[in-house]
Amino acid sequence: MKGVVLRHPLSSRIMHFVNMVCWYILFLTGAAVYFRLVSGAEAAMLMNVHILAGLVLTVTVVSYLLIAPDRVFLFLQEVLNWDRDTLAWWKNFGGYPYRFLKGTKLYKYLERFWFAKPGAPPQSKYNAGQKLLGITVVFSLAVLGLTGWMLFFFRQALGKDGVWLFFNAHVWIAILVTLFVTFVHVPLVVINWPDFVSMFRIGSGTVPVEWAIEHNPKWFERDVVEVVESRKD
Amino acid sequence: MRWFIEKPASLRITRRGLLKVFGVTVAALAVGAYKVTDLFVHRNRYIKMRQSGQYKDDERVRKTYSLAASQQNPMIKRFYDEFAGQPFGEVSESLLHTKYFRRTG
Repeated sequence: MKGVVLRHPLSSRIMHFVNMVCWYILFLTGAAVYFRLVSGAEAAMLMNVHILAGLVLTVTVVSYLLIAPDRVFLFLQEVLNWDRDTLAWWKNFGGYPYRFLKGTKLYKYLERFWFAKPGAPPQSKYNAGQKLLGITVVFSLAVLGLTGWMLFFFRQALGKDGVWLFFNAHVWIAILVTLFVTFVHVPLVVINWPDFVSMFRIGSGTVPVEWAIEHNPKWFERDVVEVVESRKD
Repeated sequence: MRWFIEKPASLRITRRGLLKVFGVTVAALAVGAYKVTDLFVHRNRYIKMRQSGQYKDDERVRKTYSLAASQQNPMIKRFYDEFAGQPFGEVSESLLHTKYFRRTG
């Protein structure tokens, strides 16, 4: 079947892009200061950049919640929906190990000894790994935003224990999630090139129908409809 | 070229999904709010513990020496007579009073 499916609407793509840019600015400025890679004056300047990027990200997230609450709700509903196929995906990580080891000597050992066979169970809009990433990102955005602004505005009111807890939660959740996103999410999404293109290209956020049926058959079958253009006679 | 889009949200939000999303959101907010209020309530724990310890010491000394008031404590009297001069004096001010300022970074 020839055609395209709108996978990422404009509001979601803007949100994703701003989130990505601000996240890495926040991570780089925060890491440079925390690990003392810069001098005192530079650290003060980087902290100003850190606060500004945090403000931009906060405004964007709140705007997205207000402008597109339906997209937020559907996203949460999707990432929280863990059915039998979602759990089955984790048995062989969506078939990625088989894919990576194809043509090597290890492939036959994997096929013989691993308890799940090649191929991925049918997934909805996001596969099981993407669902875990979605939950992680939503949770970390909420926690990092809360801890960051509390440390900025109410440092004295938090007390000694509160500052210690909030500061360490802020730093280490940011580091762990950034490592997860950088070394797992980014490489996997680049491998799935049509999805990557639909998110970042200038134009509509569509993927080919064949790709959607192959990767997200349950989504295509259940949640997608064809647009019938009215004929001008 | 055939075009496909997602069905509108009104057709895709299920009763189960609604309960799940609101349930998880409310649970997360409740746990988060509990933790934050807990931190605020206990933020002066160390200061209160120190105050309580000092009051206990004072009570013990008064009981041991049968004193009516804290200022009759012989150790305190000797401290001021022989060393610090008077309460709020220069020496006692510099040794006994603290200032709260940022000590990190």
